[in-house]
Amino acid sequence: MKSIINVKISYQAFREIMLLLTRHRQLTFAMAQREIADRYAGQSLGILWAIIHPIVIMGVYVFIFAYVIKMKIGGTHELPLDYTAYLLSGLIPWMCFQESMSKASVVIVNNANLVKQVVFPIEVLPVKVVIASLFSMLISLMILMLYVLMVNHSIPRTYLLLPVLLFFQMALMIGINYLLSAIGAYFRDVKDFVQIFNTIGLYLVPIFYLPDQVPSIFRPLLYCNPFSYVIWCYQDILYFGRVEHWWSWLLLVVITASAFLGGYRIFRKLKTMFGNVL
Amino acid sequence: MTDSLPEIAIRVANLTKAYRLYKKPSDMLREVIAGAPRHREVIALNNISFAVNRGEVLGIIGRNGSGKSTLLKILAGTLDKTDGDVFVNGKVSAILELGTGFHPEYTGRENIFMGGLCLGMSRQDIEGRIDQIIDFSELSAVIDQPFRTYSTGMQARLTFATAVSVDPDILIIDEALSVGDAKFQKKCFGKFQNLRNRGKTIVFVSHDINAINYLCDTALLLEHGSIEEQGESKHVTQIYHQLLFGAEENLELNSANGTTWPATIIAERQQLKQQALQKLAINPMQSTSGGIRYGDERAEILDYGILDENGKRTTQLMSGASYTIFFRVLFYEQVENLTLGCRISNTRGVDMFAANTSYQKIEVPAQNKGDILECCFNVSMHLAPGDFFLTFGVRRIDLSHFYDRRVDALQFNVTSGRTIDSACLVNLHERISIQHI
Repeated sequence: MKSIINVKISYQAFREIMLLLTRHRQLTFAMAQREIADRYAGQSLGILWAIIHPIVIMGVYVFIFAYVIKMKIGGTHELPLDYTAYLLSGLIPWMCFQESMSKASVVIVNNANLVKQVVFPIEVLPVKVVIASLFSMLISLMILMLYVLMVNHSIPRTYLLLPVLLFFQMALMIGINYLLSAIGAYFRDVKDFVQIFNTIGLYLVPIFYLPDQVPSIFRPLLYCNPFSYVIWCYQDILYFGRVEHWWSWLLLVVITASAFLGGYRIFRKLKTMFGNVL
Repeated sequence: MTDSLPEIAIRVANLTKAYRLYKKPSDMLREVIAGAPRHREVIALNNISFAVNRGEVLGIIGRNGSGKSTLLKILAGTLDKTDGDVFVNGKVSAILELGTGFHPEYTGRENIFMGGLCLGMSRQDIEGRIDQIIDFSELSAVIDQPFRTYSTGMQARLTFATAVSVDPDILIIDEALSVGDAKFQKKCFGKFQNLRNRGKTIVFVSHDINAINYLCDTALLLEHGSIEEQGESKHVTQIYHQLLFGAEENLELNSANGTTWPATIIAERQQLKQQALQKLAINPMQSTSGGIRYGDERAEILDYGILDENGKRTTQLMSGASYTIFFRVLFYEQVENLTLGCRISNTRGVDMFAANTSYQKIEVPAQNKGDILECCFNVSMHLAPGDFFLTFGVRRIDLSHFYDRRVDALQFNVTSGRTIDSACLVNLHERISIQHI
């Protein structure tokens, strides 16, 4: 436990993983590209599905929550945009997490031939999942931007901060994926846990509601969930257009750093034994 | 290169690999967390030590389940070791299975890219070498068709061509070559020579004794996870052959009769042998010399040799002349279903000639205790000049085991009056003519 906060060991792990990913960046991108292409290969609408899919999913949530249930948010907050924009600004990053985690939990098992048989840098496998998921997210973000532009006729300047946030999210997802993929190789049921968590998690993070709307006894649940902070950061940028949750940003840095390094170090420890269980 | 001290490419010291067999994968993690063992242990490699110098070709042979693949995987780094040290010096490329990292739906060309990236090449590297790779694989006609449409041999070719294009310092190959056709195998062997001449190291697993003899400087024989023998490949492959066809039956027999033959039988056999030696008028020393021998001892090859056209024993042969290769067998028990054979191999261990009575559909009558049989092969010597070894065997017709086998029992030398290339293997007795047209 002490070693997790040991700066020297952490720095070494960080250096190691960065070197590895730089050296194999072409492979990582080629594999991510292949994963995206595989998803739509042989389908008549092809890559169009990459746009249709998020539109339909987001459309369903917006329809149910904004028009059927007629969710209202507000109260003490000054709300710059409508509920649809609020919902989407939280839903989009969450969908990206969902996609990436569910794939990460089986990525080692599904690529058993690579893991077992060739001199192959398996460290790229969880990362390519992240890149493929971020691709879908970028499409969704563009749809959101179009929507905001249509409704609001302008886009908040905070959207310029998106690359920074995407960078943190990427690092965080890489860390989570290292952990999930490593454990997923041993416990095949990890993928089921992840699936259930993905479904429930949608309601455990403040996507459809504001934290104020949650009864106070349940509110700590929201603050215990590390994903909430990521969602708040996204809402700051995409919805509020100002830094509404400054502590989320601080915590995001801490959460990301520990997930990235911790996840990688667990992966590194477990990977030598993958060959025995696959 | 020749002057410099040999640099170690691979050093393995006291390597042990124990597979822990778990009922399910999660048991493994539970063991790590809880500390209580939840596995059964199987030793795959037991205290193995060897070293390979740079530019050397090491062959690994052994029966199924002897630990060959485990050893290769540890060398390639895809499997962890339980104990000991493994030092691998240089960039490794491995062909452990056909078409690994290759996607069946993608074309050959796309797979070369992906495979190359997997093996650590950059996109630019691959672009620079892709024509060479396609050329080597001889698949230019189908390179843009999906990988799944390829035959096994074609898949092997693409795998091999991609793996060697990495220009590894150490190339590890697990029997992948055996599926290619003869022409491609030859090409691969050529590539091996090329790599070796450039100081690269190759570790090669095969069941093919000839391939090991031909390609490898040294070899390693694994048996039940331990090194049974290591050294010059010719020697090691002989031991392997003995292991396959000699020892097991022997063990069985011995255990059926106690640990050794009963004293009465030994005495009786000694007597039979003495009588036979007298009858054949040869001295006992001569009959025990030369080579490795094994068998279940129900028969013994007492005498052998090569006779020239005048009936004189010789070991200095002339290419083109006729000779008689003969051997004489004494039977200690009643034995039926026999086949008698001889084999000539060169100094690299490559078989040059082999014949036996069952190939020729000659029925060998059943033999009784004390019978002596002489078997002659009248041959015309078409071998090119060089040194050769003769092996004799008396074997069961179903090839299951030997009654007696004398490996490399006799060394002989072939010379030629005419000059032909010293590196060639056979003498076709050419007559060269030239004329002006």
